[in-house]
Amino acid sequence: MGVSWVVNIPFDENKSSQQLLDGLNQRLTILGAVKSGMHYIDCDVYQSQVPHASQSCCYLMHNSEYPVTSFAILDSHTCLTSDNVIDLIMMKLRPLYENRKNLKLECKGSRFTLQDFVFKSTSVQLTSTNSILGILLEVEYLPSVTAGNCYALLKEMVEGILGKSVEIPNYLKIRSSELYSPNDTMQQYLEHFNLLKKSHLSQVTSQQQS
Amino acid sequence: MHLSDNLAKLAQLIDFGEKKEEDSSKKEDLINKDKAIEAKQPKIWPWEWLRNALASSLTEMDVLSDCLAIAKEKRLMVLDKIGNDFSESKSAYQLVTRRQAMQNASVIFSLGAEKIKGIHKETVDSSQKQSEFYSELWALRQQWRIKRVGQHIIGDLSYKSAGSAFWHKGTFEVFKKVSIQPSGGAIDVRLPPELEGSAYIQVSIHMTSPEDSISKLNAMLTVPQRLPTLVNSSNRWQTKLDAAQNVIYCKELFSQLCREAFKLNSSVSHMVANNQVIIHLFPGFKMHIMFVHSNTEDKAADAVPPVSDPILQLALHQLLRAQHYNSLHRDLPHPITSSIGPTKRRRLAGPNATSRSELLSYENPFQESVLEKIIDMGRNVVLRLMVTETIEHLALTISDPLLHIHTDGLSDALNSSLRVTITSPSYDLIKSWFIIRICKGKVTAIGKSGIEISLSHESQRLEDYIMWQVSQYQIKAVYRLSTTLGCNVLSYTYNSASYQAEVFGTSPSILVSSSDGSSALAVRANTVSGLEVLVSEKAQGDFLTDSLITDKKWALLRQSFRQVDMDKMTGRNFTHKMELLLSVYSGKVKP
Repeated sequence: MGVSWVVNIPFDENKSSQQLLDGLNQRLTILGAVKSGMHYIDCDVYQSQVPHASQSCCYLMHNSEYPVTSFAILDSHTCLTSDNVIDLIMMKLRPLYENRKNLKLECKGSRFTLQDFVFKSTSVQLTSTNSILGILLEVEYLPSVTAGNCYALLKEMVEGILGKSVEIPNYLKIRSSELYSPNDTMQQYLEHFNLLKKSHLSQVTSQQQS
Repeated sequence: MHLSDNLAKLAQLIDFGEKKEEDSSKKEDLINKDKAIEAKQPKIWPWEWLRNALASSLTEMDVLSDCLAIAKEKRLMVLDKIGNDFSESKSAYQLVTRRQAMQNASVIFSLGAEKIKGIHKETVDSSQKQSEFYSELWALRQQWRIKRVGQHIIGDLSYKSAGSAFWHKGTFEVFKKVSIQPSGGAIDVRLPPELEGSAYIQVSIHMTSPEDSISKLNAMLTVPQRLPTLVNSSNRWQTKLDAAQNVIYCKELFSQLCREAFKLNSSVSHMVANNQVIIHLFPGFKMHIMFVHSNTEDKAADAVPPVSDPILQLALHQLLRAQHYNSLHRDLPHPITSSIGPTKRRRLAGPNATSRSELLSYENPFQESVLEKIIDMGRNVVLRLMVTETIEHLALTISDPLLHIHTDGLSDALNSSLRVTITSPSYDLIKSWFIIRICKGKVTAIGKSGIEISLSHESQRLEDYIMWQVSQYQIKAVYRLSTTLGCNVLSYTYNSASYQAEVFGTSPSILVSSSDGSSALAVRANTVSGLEVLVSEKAQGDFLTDSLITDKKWALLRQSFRQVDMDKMTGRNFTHKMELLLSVYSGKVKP
């Protein structure tokens, strides 16, 4: 278990998203990383049915890296790490939480290993429309357990891959001295998902208006 | 004759019965008279005659009571018994009649007794039969699980209660024998047809070298046809059920082996054909596991080969048994609400967000399949045989340093080791040793320095290794001797590359000079071509006369080496010969 940093790769106007992803993978292989399987994350959205509730959404996420675990995250970043049985419990809670199937996100991609680093390059898409929202790269440094100890290392690695300077996300900065846990990775993914979803929706609405 | 006797005699003559009749006739007369009076006279009282009769009897009673009262005082009157003289005359007749009556009674009695006897016998017989059935059923219940289903008694042969998950139900039916046989017992069992007969599993290891395909190695495994029984063997059902249970066990074992043979990934795939699993142990070695099931007992007796390997015989039994045991006995503690099976670490894997690589490492290393274990055991059998044969062969051929072999007592089917000590007779302090370990289908040799060398299943490799160790020992012996005898060791190399190369291994060598440095001795132990001992002595003649040589040290220059013919030297063995030679060099003994 190590520290992960999830970076959003911005779209290039000249390239399609698939080309961007292929380019990223190629760059990783040139670095010397070896492909070691697939990576898959899905995110179900459950809308609270209680009116005026402060926590309006519950995100239920699964990560192929943790095959027997489900992460249920609320808007307030409260995370419940549990067995996969929670999927069935959420079905029972239908009167309280409704599954918003059209908002379900998933990201698929490849996993690469390079010594102590693990890279996961994935494309994010809405399951209902199959349109690609963005490309995410997760860089994981395995030997470290706190984010603060390996900022520089991660930053150097990410900048090396992307070829430009990047800022460390606030989420990691706040938790620089805490023990890093898998749910921190999921929180980062969720943040990116929400941002991508928002920009996609705004795009769709602007297209509809025009 | 007394007066009283006379009176008694007279009294005997009185027939009271006659008098009674007279009385009754008188009474009748009286009644008739009364009736006549009644007829003559007008009726005064309808029960007059009864009153009269009662009055007369009352009078008689009065008289009698008076008589008795007088007789009580025994003054005026005495009651006396009447003599039996009269009865004596009738005794013979009475005896006859009495006898006859007794006889009749006895006949009736005996008839009745016989009747009762018969009835009793019948009831006892049936109850005895019933009780025999129950006692035998009780004995059966002590050995087997049986239960009553409707009108039938069904037993269970399977190992399900012991943790087996085999599909076969393994039920049998118990019923009462109809025909009574003296030694047959009251119970018989009916088995399903597929469990009848006897079965065994045979494991044999074949060597299939290209030259001859004859199997040299043959380890036969037979699961015993019948487990030893503690109960009386006269119970036919016991032997029958034991055999059937053995069949079910062998079936389960074989089906498990077949399944695992399909699953197991190996470089050379294992073959499953009909009732045989063929496993490749090493190139040229195959293991055949055969399931033999014969329905008739005669056939089974013919087919059973007498050879059996007790280790493998135990092994297959124990492996499946251990698997049964493991399926029942889980690691404790586990919460009541959780399902039985996963370990604590696996249960906590979800909430702890365990990664995939960690989950893979949770796989129990002890949950190796039965087939993998038996393959390892088979390999060990082959390797053990190879090692022992090679060492025996070498111990016989190499006579100079002695090879002492000590096999480890703490060995099992998967691990065994032996220690070989190399010594010379009467030079026990100079010794060298190495350990040969056979573990999980691999042979490793561990030398004195602790370096492990893995060897293959071919005997040549082991032979080479031992030969190399022997040559090392010989040079070491020379080194030890020269240090104790006071010679100077100039060089000592384990692996000298100064001479022509051997076919295998490296030749150790040693160079020793005498204590004054005038002469030198070189020994080389070649692994193949044997020992070479070379000597060089101080050059003859006076060097200092030459004007070119100014320093005295040049006088110590030695001549070129000459080889010593060790065969012609005196001495018991090489070490002894070297001791003699070195003692000359050390200057302690004059040549």
